[in-house]
Amino acid sequence: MKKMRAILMAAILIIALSGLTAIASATELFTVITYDEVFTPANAVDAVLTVEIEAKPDTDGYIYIAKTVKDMKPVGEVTGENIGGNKLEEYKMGNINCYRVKVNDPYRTVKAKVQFDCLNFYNAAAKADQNGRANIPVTHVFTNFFVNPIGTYNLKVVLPEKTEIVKVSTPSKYADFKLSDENGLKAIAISKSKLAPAAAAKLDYTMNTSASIFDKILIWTFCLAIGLFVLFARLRENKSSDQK
Amino acid sequence: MQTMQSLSEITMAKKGPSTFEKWMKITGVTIALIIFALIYTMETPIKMTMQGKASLAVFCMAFVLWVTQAIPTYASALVAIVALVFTGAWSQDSALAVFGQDIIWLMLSAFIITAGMEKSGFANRLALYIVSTFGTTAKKALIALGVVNLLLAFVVPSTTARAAMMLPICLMILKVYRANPGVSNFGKQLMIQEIHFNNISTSGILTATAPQILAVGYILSMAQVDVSWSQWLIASMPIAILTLITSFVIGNFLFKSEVDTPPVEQTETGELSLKEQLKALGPISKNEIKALIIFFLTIALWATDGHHLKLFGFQVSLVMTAVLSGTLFFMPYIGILSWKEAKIPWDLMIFSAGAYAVGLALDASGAASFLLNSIFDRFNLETLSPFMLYMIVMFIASFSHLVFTSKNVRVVILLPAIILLAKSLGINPLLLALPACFTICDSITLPPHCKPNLIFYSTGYFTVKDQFIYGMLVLFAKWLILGAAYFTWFRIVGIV
Repeated sequence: MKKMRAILMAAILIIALSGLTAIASATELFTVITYDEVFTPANAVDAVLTVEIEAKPDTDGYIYIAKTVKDMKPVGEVTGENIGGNKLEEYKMGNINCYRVKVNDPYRTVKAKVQFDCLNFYNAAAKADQNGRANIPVTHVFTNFFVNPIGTYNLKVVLPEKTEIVKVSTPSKYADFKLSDENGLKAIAISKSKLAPAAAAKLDYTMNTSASIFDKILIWTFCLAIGLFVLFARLRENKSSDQK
Repeated sequence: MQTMQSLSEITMAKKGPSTFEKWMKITGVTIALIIFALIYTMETPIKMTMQGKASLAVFCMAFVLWVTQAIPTYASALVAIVALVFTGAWSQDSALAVFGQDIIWLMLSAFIITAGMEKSGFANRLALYIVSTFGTTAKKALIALGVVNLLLAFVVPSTTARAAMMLPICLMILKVYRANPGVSNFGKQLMIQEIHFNNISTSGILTATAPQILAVGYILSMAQVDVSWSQWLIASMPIAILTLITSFVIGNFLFKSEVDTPPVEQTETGELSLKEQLKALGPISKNEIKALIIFFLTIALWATDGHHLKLFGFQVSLVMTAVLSGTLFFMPYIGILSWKEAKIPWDLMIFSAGAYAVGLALDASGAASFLLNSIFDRFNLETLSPFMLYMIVMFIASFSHLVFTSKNVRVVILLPAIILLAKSLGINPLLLALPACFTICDSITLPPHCKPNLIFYSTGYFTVKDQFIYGMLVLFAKWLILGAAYFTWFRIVGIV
């Protein structure tokens, strides 16, 4: 009896381990070719995240989408090639929360597009450095928690109306980010190729509202007041030194 | 026998400012503030951040203040630092940390070394020897110093080290000629020409500065062409020599020397020639020997820079060599200086820190890259003939130093862009990339553009305006020389 129990326990253990291995093997074959995230403003504080992914599904016929923003909620259906009609479902890959969707043909590359509501994406408390205005910090980090490297990761953040980028902290080099105009709104983009497993792509910047008419008038008044004061004072000095 | 008076005791009648200079001083502050307000309040260009716009506004304001000298340079530097921080162009920590940068310590040490050399009398002896042997007229003295610069470029692989080395010699030669700072045209030409000879000779020798070696690396990795030391020398040195000759001619035209020969010493027994003055110094004193040892130790360390680990198993950087030398001059029994005798021009040190901060902020904020990209985008490069494209690229490569203060940054941004441009247009990359490399050291127009500029500017012999006009004319001439080389020398050596 004891022997039978031991054999049964061993069998259960082997099956369980095999099951885990099977899951691991399945996700190992999931390969992302391109992963694009685009944040566009829904209003002054909320954003809509559009994720477009081109990938090879795993052997179980799933592709996975990272949960990169707290409280992101899918909006509408997943669209694309080799994906039609299937719904996005929440999934836990180890300790990582993500979404996944079943594809029609697991042996073909998938191109999928899905949107998410990201409430309060732009709504951070303004923070002042040791000097100057208080600016709104925005940080977005994408970590590749997939088993394989991502071919190309692209991130674009479009700013709300009448908002500008004050400073880009990460990446620090001008050549590593792109500033553009999206239908009259300012946008910033970064791109990383061959993003290794566990590696992260980070965008860190501060933004603020563009200078108002009042601010501009104040600056001009300040500059002209000092400039004209010095000009007239110097002209007076020049006149009196000429007279001497 | 009367001894030569120290520089501070000699006074010459100061000539008054010209009408143009007077009006620049009257209107300078107003123009600077208007330009600042215009740029700071304009709509931020799409490919620029607010930080970049602010740094550009501060740079342009500071530039106008420096050139017009509407307020003293130390004041404009402080205004620039305050404006950089308050407009958000740069953080407080970064702006203030410039004062701890290596260039400031190098300048501080260079002045201590100069003071030590002057006090010991060795610099006077060396200057009298050089002038009496090679520089018996002002023009000969300028040529002699130029040749020394060119020869040093083969041996000392750093423009900054060579500038620090030449500084005490130049100052003593000017003292022999009784040329006072801010007044003497001879002094202006000599000091600015030192900047030109330092930088332009460097362009003739691949190993004379590290950014050139970096540039050749880019050509190898991106264009698969290996440019050797001798190939660089053959292609570039004729351009460098012609440019130096042009610099000499332009300098003579702009700053007509008020002295032809060194003033003779009047004594009770009559006049003393330079050789007699040299003889009258007598044998080398103990202080001169001390100064000589410290100076030659400094030169030896600078000349072997990059080989210290192999030679001593211990690396000593360029700036720490200078600080070490300065320290030795203050040490009891070894040195000969007291603090007051060091005569550090703190107003010029503050200017250097402020000017450097403005340039670094322009780089760090991306404004410099934005300006460069905008210039490239303006031209329809695909429709241009190879020669026109070459001339535009050479112009941008040379004059881009106006917005980029760092040679390394210019190389990193420009070289890959030029090589990729050539490839996309189906042109041999070497045609554009290698001549562009010969302009890496063209940062001769403004004090903050490179460390030798700051070192020589700190002597007070010339103004920002003097350097700017002289430098722009020389670079324009060099651009034309490069254009002529396209049809001549570069065809002979196989670049075209």
